[in-house]
Amino acid sequence: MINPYYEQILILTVINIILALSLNLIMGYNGLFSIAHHGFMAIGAYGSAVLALSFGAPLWLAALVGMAVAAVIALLIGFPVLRLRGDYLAIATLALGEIVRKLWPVLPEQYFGGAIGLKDIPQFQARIWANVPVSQLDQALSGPQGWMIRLNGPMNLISLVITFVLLLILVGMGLWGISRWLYRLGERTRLGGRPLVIAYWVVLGVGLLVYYRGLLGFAERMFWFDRALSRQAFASDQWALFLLFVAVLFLFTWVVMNYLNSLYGRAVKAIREDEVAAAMLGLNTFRYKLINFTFASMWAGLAGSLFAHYQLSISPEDFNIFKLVDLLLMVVLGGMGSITGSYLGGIIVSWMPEVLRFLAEWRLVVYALTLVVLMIFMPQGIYGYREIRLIPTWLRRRLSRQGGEVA
Amino acid sequence: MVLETEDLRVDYGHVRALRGVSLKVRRGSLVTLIGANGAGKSTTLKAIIGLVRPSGGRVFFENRDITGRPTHKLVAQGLSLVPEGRHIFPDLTVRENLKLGALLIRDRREEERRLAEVMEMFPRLGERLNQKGGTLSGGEQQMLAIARALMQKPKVLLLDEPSLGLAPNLVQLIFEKLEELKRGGATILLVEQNAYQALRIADYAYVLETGRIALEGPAKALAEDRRVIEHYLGG
Ligand SMILES: Nc1ncnc2c1ncn2[C@@H]1O[C@H](COP(=O)(O)OP(=O)(O)OP(=O)(O)O)[C@@H](O)[C@H]1O
Ligand SMILES: [Mg+2]
Repeated sequence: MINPYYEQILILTVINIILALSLNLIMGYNGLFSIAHHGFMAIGAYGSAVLALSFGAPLWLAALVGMAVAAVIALLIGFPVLRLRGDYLAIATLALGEIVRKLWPVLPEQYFGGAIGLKDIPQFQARIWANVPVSQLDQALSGPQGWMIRLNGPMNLISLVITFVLLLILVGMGLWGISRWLYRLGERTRLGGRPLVIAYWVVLGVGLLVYYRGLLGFAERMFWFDRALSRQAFASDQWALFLLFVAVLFLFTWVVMNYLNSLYGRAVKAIREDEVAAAMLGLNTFRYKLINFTFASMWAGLAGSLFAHYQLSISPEDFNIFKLVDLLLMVVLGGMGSITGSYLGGIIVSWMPEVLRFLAEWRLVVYALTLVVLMIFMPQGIYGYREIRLIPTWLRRRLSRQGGEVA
Repeated sequence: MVLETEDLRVDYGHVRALRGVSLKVRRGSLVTLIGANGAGKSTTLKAIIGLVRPSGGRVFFENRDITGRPTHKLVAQGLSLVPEGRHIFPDLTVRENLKLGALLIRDRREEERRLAEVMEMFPRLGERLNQKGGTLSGGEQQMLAIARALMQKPKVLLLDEPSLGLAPNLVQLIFEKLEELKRGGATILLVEQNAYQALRIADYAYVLETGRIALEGPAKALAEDRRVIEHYLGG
């Protein structure tokens, strides 16, 4: 059904979105250029893996402890570091991330695996709708839970369709977001908004026509239409794991939405807009920055834990400066201070290397150039400080008695 | 005395911004602090409300020593500052800006009550409740900044150059509002460069020169002082 290789990227996409959204809480919503996020991801990953490997903790507990350790360390480190401003904060946190990376080889090797890292980390066992390992499929089908497994096929198909519709919507939103942004850019310059937007859609259309073979090839590689194989894929553990991670992502998104609307979230945004004004509202600005930093780092810890128990082996180099660059790109490209943007950034950065695969070694050049151009002309990212409205505005108005909430 | 500073000193690195400022604000009075650019007026307010740490001297609020207390605690105790340069939230509506003023008030009804009071005082804001703060005129933005501070029902209102950069008719309007506030019993410490207007509405005045109080006295008396006329009232 789905190429296992792409299934892997799908799962990493989910982890990346969690990372992007949590880093966005610090960079986009609080306006702090703090860049130790890969470090907290590593702490979560190592914490959780060590606990599961050396102490046999159940994975849910290991993941929770991984989150807690990341949070506690964020709290301790945030205390001195968040008093710094601007560039100093960036430098201090950058150093912090590197220190964390250099730390693992120094820690007791029997637990932390030295420079090589850890392997044979226990895997999350996701068994949604009576999923069974492929090897036991035929046996299980004839067993008492056979009906469940037969149901499993259509259910997975439905969730697959939903997932891809959502992905398509997100890609569409990205293209639409760029169009809106170009319009505003055109309005500001002498070019005019409309010609620029028309030119954009023309270029996009022509581009798609020229590249449609590439896209077709991509789709072919992505989906398998072999019926025998599709039965296997339906029952794969990977797919159940993907759904589990998506559930975690949606839970996290829901928590973030509530957080952003709470006193904490509003305080954090007020601090970003104007720290003096925020202090004049009677807010303890340092306290809210610290809470936000800790909260965001905790979720980076969770992402690290998911990563460790999915990839099954981790090494200090999984959390190096390139990982950090990926994280920054997701936030800056997708959109600062935006949930939509975090999703978009996570997806783009996870899939860009695949989509550009036909370029062979030129890929990296195009990748870098695209990003540089986007960063110069689109410093807030595609969905900077905006959200896509899943419910149209007029309907929202009708649904909520009082129009207008704090942004 | 509801607010008092005693020999207040502030250094920014090597710059000695305040070299011993002592002033008193009586409950229900409007006290003004005038002085040239860079005299240390803003620094005085910042030191009172804890935005900068004094290197010496003390600040008393309701007879308690509050020197070096964190800002948010002082705001909660009833000191509010409208900082120089407005500092409203331009992307939020007028209503949202005002509600942020009452951010720490949990009681919804109390919040609505204060909102109504403030709108009565500033009808122009009431008409523009759903307009973005950034689209207001300069004078309206200044009123919004003052109104937001009033949402906190401060015991003492600190104002830093509310007339800065406003057209003369708007300056007039702002000062009328301040007079109205004073008549309503508010306690205000007003920092101004517009000495003429400030001295007209104040009860008592201090003149700050390079970090020191050079002159002080009832506003009426200072308005007739030869040195004040020469330096601050344009001859
Ligand atoms: N953050 C700072 N770092 C260094 N020096 C500062 C800082 N803030 C103010 N100063 C200096 O302190 C002195 C007093 O500044 P302050 O802002 O209090 O003056 P002011 O009386 O409010 O002037 P204005 O009327 O222009 O607002 C000035 O010489 C100024 O340059
Ligand atoms: Mg000043």
